[in-house]
Amino acid sequence: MKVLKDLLRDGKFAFGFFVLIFLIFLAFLSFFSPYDPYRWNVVPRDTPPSWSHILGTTSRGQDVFWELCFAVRNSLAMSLIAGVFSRIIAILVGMVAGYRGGMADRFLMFLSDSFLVLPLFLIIVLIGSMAKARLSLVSLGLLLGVFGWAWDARVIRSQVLSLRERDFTYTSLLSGARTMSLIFKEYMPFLTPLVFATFIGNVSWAIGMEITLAILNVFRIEIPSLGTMLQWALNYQALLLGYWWWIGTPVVTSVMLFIALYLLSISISEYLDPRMRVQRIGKA
Amino acid sequence: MKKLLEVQNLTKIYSMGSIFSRTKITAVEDISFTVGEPEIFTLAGESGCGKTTTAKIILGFEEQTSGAVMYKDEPIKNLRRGDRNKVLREIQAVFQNPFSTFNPLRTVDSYFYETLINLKIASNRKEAEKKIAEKLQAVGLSFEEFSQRYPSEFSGGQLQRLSIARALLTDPSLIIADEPVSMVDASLRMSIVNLFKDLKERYDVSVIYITHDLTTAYYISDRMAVMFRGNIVEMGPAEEVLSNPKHPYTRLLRESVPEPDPEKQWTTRVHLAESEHEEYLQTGCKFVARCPLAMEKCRKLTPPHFEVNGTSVKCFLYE
Amino acid sequence: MRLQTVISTKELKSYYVLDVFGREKVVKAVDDINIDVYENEIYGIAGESGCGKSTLLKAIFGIIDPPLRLIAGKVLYFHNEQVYDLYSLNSDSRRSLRWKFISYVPQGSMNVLNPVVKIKETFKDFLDSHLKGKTKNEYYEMAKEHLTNLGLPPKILEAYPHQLSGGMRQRVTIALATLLNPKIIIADEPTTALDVVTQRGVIQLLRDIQSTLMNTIVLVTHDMGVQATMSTRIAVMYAGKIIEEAPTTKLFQDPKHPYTRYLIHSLPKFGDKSKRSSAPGSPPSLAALPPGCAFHPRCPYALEKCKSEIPALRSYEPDHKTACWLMEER
Repeated sequence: MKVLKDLLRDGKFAFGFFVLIFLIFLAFLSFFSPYDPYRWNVVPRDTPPSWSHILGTTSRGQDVFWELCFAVRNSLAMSLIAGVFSRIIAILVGMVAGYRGGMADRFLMFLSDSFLVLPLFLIIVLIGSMAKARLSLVSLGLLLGVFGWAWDARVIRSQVLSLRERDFTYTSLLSGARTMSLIFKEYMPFLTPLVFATFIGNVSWAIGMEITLAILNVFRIEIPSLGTMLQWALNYQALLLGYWWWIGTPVVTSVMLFIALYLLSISISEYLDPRMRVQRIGKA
Repeated sequence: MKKLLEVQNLTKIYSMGSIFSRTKITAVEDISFTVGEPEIFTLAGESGCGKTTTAKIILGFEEQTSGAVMYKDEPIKNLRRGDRNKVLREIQAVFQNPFSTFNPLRTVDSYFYETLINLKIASNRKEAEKKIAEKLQAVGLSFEEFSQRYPSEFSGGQLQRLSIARALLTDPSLIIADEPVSMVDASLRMSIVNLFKDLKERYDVSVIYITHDLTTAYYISDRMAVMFRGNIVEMGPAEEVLSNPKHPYTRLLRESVPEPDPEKQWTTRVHLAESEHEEYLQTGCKFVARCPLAMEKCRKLTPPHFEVNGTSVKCFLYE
Repeated sequence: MRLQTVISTKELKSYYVLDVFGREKVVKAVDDINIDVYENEIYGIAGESGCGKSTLLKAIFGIIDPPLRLIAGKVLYFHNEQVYDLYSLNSDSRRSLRWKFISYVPQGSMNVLNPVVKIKETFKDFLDSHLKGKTKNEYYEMAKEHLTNLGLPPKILEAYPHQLSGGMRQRVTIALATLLNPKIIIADEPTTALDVVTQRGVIQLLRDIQSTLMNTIVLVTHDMGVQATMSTRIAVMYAGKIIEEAPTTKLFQDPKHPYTRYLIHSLPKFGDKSKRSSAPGSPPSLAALPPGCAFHPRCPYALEKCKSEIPALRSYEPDHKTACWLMEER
């Protein structure tokens, strides 16, 4: 709680935090939706915002507000899966490569280099279009996770490489620590800011990726998400017909989400910076 | 004097560079010495002389290229393979930089409990606390000012004391101290140096004291070895080596120490090597390029060790 | 004969003001310093890490960048019969005094040589930015001549920094700083992190420069051995203040302040194995100084007065200043 209080004093964090809380609240609201998001024509079509439909309705006869709740929930869930999954891979690969060195290092770094030079976007689009019908939210999250770890694994590896040379590694070895406990107790605290910052970056990349895939029509369009919402609105020429509430809602929400995630990431990494932490600890 | 640790013909070669242009640097070249119990044995030398590499090999952080380290007449390699904890209980270490000895993001006491639990010295918290309090007292700290604190809450001197206390937890018979005072504030330095003297006198712990500072080496050590570019060039009782240096390098080193006495001023001038790299690759005696007394054979042949007045000198002048 | 003063500081105060997540933290690195440095001397500033000695040098050279702030006081330069108040000069005139009147060898400067160009390019660029209007070859010639004067091999001009040893790099940076024959060289720990033999070479060079140019060196180092060999006069700093100032021989023979006494008497010497003990306790943090004399918690002779009042730096003997209440009592 003290950490949150410290962080909230930072304007950047406070803004990002409240936007995110609001969006999570929306996602939570989706559980109480009066409408089924998969059904059409449950409300009058194309009505502008009013008291009964606060964000208006779509040409598909759906309520924009409630559709947004589902979209936010799905997009967040999918990107969290991608973020967590790629973090796990990045940490494991980075730690093992950095600490073990030698052959393991060379092999793992070859792997990560390969992922870095491959045209990821094309491959994802390709896989997406091949597996389109079977691609669920979870599998899309995992797919994006598989492609999102390479660079971060490299950064973690280089951190571990430099930490390995610090004296406390030797102190820990002399204290009889085993490899696993050494890595997690000694190195993890230094890596958390990095993992956190890259996690948020990755989440925001995954959300962006989903939107791109949906607009390119390679994701199952019946699943409500920020991307598909936008795709439907574009499909029905919402812009041309002046249904600004329909196309505006996902656009504004996505932009707000990206800004919030960006601010959170810079504020948290500033806060977790080991040098700053040492200073704070010293002061306490 | 009983033999505790014996280093036999230890050599460590690092190869650097890519597959296409490999250069080999001999960091430690065929060195041998013994440490008795209890005594303070100093490995002195300038940076890059191989003293820290030697320590890392003894501690098992690096693998030697050839040669052996014997602990109580048994190869330490075998011991480590059989029972790693046993070696850790016997040989501990103190490092140069007290600010990086402990992880700045962890409390210092966590290392103490870990040492006791991992090495099966204490079985419960209470026993551990008793042991810790005892060792803290030995280094002049109290348990109260120690628990639940981060390294940044201590001064460099305190951290170095804590580092020594942690090493003492296992009741080791040998402590390897790699430049333990070079980063400690001047006004506290001698209190740490005195602590090592205490360890030997009160607790019968042998110490391998690694340093570039000849004055503290003179102050605490019983015997010492002077290293130069991976070789031990002179070894013997500290008093004899420093009061009556024999190898031209030891002489230069001894003479170059700026003494805290305005009356003593240098009368001669020194010649410095332009690049350190060449000296490693020198055949024969590594010091030949800077030696005022160099002879023709010094360039070609590696001098063996000659015994002079109880010290062993690696120089043809004493043939 | 009274020596000519070249630099003088008047009640100089310079603090680091840090913002630690919304809380202000003040580190009193240079606190009320009055020193006079004379021409043709080596003025040593001794003290432990974190006592403010490096910050004092920065303040004297005029590089106060945030979070470091000038709180009060003046730095005066005496050049060509004129007095310059450093902090009231505009940046142009400040720049014109730098390197020609006063030059600075910062800590770890041997690692700041541009690694991708030859040494001669660094020399040429330096000369070009200060002299202007000469050809490349004239600059190279000047550099060569300067190195020869300092007894350094001119062929190092053709080398890249990584090809030189640490000691040679350090001497190159000193050569660079003295290229325009400054009246004052201020050097921050120029021999720290060097091996003893190399250190001796660097000390030799600095002393040669001083005796040929007859200029002033302000030398900051924590190593009392180096101070004893090089300096003619020494100021001892503790917790942001100067607590004792005296000619070297006097300071080593008869240190007055209890801290200086500990500092000097705790040093081990060859041929003397008698027990040395160092001051109890640890140096205070500059962000949380004890009241009164900053040394009183560690001082075995502390009086009641020492706990509340800060002693001033005063001459109790000619040329020997001390900031200690014990001197007052005698």
